[in-house]
Amino acid sequence: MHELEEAPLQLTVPNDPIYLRLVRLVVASAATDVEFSFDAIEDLRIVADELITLVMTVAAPGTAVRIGIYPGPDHFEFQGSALLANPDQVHNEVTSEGQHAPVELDVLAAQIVASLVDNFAVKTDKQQVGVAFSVRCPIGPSDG
Amino acid sequence: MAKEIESLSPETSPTRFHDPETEIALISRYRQTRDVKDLEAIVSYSTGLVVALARRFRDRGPELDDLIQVGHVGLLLAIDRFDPERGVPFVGFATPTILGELRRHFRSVWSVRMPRSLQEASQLLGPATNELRHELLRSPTISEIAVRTGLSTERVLEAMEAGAAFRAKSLDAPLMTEGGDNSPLHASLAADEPVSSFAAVDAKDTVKRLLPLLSPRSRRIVQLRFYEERNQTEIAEIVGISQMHVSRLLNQALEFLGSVITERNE
Repeated sequence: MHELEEAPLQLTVPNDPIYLRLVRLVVASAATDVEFSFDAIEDLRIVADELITLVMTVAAPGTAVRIGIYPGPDHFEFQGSALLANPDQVHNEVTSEGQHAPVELDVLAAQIVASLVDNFAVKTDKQQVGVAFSVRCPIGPSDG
Repeated sequence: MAKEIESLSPETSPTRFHDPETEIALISRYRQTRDVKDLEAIVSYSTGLVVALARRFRDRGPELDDLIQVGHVGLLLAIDRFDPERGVPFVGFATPTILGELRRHFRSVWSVRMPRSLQEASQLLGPATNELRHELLRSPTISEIAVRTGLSTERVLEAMEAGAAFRAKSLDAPLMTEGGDNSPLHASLAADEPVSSFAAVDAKDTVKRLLPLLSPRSRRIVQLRFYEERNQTEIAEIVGISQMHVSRLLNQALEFLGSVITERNE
């Protein structure tokens, strides 16, 4: 995974679910540029929505959610992060390998996300919560 | 159905209701025979999953029963698209499809606030995407959809976000036509005059999704009527039966399709 700060596409939105629409739209637009298919883009929109929704539920009110996207050439990578509302309560991480932590997708959401992308992760450090996913870019339209 | 739903605990994991091997075997058989009894069995197996997914949205306004109905439309789509040969568990395949249908339902609720031009774009998206999917035998790219619809790629993306192109609507739901008529969708579709307005596109889209549930002859008649714009007399000549028989079969088919969704909540 790349660093969010180095992502060629960066977006900062208020911690408010109304901006999920904008996040999904930017993800879809970035995926369109690298020839993802309609169905694959729908999948990416669902995953981005799930992960950023999680970030927003644990992020401090009134703060911003930062998003970075690497749209290829080999992998489409997506990252999001925000300041935690209660940083003292979370110090672990959960990944697609199945570790559990206080900040995590519910079982169903994790199942959905895992089935739609190659890798995803939800991580926390002292102050921040971060989410990420990556999926292989299509070789051509028939691969999307 | 109501009792079945009531008996499910909110904490219950949807996977507890699934025996993957039985389910895949049922789907394989259904794909060969198109036996409605097999379809009912698959739906019965997956009801726990649909209910669990629908519950995730119940705090957003709609009644749980309505959400479950929408979820079942997603389930039918998933059953139709699932390839048992791939060795993927059905629950993993069906979940995103059902969830997508539920999300689209919410977006369609919000569509009343959308500009009319965006509503029009959204209505173009579903049929164009389905056509391209059949022609290309794969999911089309946004560029391909843009070319087919005459929209810009940006507009296609906005229309995807609007999501109204895949609106799930009961065939018994009242249809507001341009003339102010308030008849059910199936009644309007069964009439020999073409139904105008965007609702007709919606209705066609809904019917198209459920076509695999029909017998081959009924499916052919519905396709001739709604997708090739043939009138009942023309259909009678093509299929080799009387116009009255066409009318009867058409009505039966549409009533059946309407009941498929509503039965789930009874």
